[in-house]
Amino acid sequence: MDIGLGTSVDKNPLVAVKEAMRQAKEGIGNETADLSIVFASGDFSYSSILKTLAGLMPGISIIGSSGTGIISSHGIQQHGLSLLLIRLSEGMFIHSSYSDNLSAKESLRAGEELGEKLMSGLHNIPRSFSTIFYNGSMGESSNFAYGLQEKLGRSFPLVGAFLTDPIRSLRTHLLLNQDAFTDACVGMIWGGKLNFGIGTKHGWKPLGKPHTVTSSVGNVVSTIDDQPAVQLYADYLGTEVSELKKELKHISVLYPMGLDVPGENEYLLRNIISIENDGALICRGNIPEGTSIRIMIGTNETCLEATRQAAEEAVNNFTGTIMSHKKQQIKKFALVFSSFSRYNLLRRMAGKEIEIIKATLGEDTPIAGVYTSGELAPLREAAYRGQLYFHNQTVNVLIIGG
Amino acid sequence: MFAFLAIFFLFAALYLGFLLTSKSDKIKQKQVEIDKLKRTVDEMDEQAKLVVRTDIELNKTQEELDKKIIGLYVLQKISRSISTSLEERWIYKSIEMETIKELGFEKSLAFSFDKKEGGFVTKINLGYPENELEKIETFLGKNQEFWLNFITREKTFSSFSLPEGLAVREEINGIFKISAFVISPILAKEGNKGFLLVGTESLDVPITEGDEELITILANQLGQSLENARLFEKTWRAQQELEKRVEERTHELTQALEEKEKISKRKSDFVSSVAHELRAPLTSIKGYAAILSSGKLGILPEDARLRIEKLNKHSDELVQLVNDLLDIARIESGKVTMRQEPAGLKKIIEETIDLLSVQCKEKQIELSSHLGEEIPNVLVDLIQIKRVFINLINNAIRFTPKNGQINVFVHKIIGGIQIDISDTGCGIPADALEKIFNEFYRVDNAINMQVKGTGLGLALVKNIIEAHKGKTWVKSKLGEGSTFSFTLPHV
Repeated sequence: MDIGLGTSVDKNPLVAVKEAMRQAKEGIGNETADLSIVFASGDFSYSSILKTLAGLMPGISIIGSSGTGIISSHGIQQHGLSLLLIRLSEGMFIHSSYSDNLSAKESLRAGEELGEKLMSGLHNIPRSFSTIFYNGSMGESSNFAYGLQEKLGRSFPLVGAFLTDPIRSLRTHLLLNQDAFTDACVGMIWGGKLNFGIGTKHGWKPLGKPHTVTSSVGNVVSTIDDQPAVQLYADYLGTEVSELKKELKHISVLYPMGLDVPGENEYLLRNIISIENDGALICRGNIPEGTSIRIMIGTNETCLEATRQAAEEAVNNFTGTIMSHKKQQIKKFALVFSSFSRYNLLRRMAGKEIEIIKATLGEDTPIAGVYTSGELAPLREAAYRGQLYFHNQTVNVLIIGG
Repeated sequence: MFAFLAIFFLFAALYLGFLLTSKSDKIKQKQVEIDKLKRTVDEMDEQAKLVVRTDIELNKTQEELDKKIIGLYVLQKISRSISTSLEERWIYKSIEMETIKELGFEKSLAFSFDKKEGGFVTKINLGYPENELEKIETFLGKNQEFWLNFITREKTFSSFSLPEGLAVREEINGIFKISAFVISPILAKEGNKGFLLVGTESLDVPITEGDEELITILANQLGQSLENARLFEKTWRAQQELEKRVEERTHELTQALEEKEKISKRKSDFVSSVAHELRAPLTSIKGYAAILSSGKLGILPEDARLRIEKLNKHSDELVQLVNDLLDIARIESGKVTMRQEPAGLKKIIEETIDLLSVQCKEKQIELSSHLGEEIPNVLVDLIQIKRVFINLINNAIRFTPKNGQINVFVHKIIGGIQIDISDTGCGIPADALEKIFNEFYRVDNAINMQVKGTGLGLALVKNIIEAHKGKTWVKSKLGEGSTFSFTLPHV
């Protein structure tokens, strides 16, 4: 596998793609690539990006998305474009597909549809893992993950990025070859002779006693311990609901809800999107009735420590499957999906996440990624092959090599 | 048997009762423990609440502190940049996108109200495409009064100080395409006033009091720097005006000097040609007078002879006058080049003293020279310099009464030799000192009334010395004598 990374902050999509392409081609010895993974800020013209890419490298497979912040080995850009060019080794296979008109479909069905389409592309080839990009503004996504796993397999490793633009409220674009979808999800399945490693962590710790969700439907939590759900936060923060509403974005990141998942050591985090007049909490992701929850607390330090752990976990998973004498020879790259909430918390320290990942993976490992509004990943490391969960506030490091 | 059974059941009942009591105690004890545990959990939960409340306060403080530190750092950076700029456009250019982003914003505009144009002029545009800026400029034009009033009030306002839902706030959000902002007036003391806007599209950036303070400081800094630039420009312009005037005056003076030189040359040429024209008839007059006086044409009656002798004498004086005039004219016009060669001053002075010793003896004047040790040779035209010494010493003899003293001092100065000829004569009035080297100027005193002179001697001295790149001057006090000084270059 040969990998090249290029980035640009030019506002003209034509110039930006050309500039990034020129840099990325150096990484693959100016040869033709099989796959291009593109992440670009939401203010670009995506048709121009795709046309320019196809013009510069005809026939190349393209997958990617827009994002509120673009991550690359060169740092974080609110406006910019990062482009990975990948030249697959012999025996390595990829297949990409999509499911559109999501708003008109049940999440479960959309997941199943994408799963089916992805599976159909890899006949008789051992499949390794999958990457998914999903328009996060389409609503609840736990059922989508469930549908996906119904088709790909309950323990099939998968990393997904849910994308919205909370800063400028720009439309999210999902890129697949020459199509730029908005009401859709796109995915890619990887198979054959390749290695991968996934690391997912958040860094928040439980605080206070457990509470029980006594009434909820989907992502709307009406009561906790038979009290209006908002009361939990009002009690803990010692503040009025009106004040809570004002500070919600801040509070939601600092003190998300932690879901106690039976059989798992880590808590699943849920941000609160809004507070209803009846005191119900609208969360980013479902919380089933009867779930035991905790108020979670995190700091910049625990957040960055989790980043280091996620990167280390991905490296361990990746190298664990490779014979020691080949470890240095294998070329690899990393996809990083970090929650926008983490960016909000870390602010000016956000670049440190990338520095930590680079230091753990090695400076020569190209990194590309995007800030997300939700993440799909197993709760434990991929080797466990555990159930897929919809996360908030995690950083996900996926290393791919071969 | 019955009694045995009754005793057995009694003991069994007692035992069961004991067991029941014991169990019940244990349950009660467990319940106490559970209650205790529950209380502990509740207490810990209360502590957790305290932790959260403290944590959120700490977070807010930390965030505000971080913002202030970054803000101060950015302000210091901008201050350094704008305080070194003395041009308005460079002051505005110091505010860059990177700076604005460091302050947590991604858009910025600055407008200045141009009194002459009667409208706002864009000075900073960061983050707005041309078409959006045009719309904003139109909006400002339509609402000029509002913005001018805002500037006059000298008060910053922002998404923090304006209540949510207020029409102005919503209008600003809409026109400037931002969801949070700070707007602060730029108040130059006398120059054009304006305002600075920073804003963000992000819905996640809460504006705080700290932001308001920071942008106010930045706008004040801008205003102060613009004022400094204006004052600098004013001073610079005044200086330029002064330089221009000096240049004009210098040009006028140069022209006047050139004109004066032209006139002087014309005068010299005129004097020279007149002198030449006078010379020929004078020579004839003098020749005939000499022949008549010699008696070769017959013995003249005594009266006629005396008159012819007078005619001869006056002709000599007229020839001398014409020669002096010719010399001055030639030197002034540069026609006479000094044939400079090394010469010893001692010899020149001794020869002059020797030449004039008879006149000194007649008036019993003590004429002496004082040459310092190691006086180097001078670079002079020997004939002309002798004329200088003769002229000056002759003058000194003429104006020094009997038993007087004349001293010639020679000493080294930087770059040459200075010669002072001092006498114990009648001295020169102060008002005549400046004019004494002018042609035909004669001091109005008793001696000059008796002794004839052309008034060209000192002018000739001055011209000869200047032709040697030297200087001539005089110091004198009435009744106390005079000192004539001049310098000469040494070898």
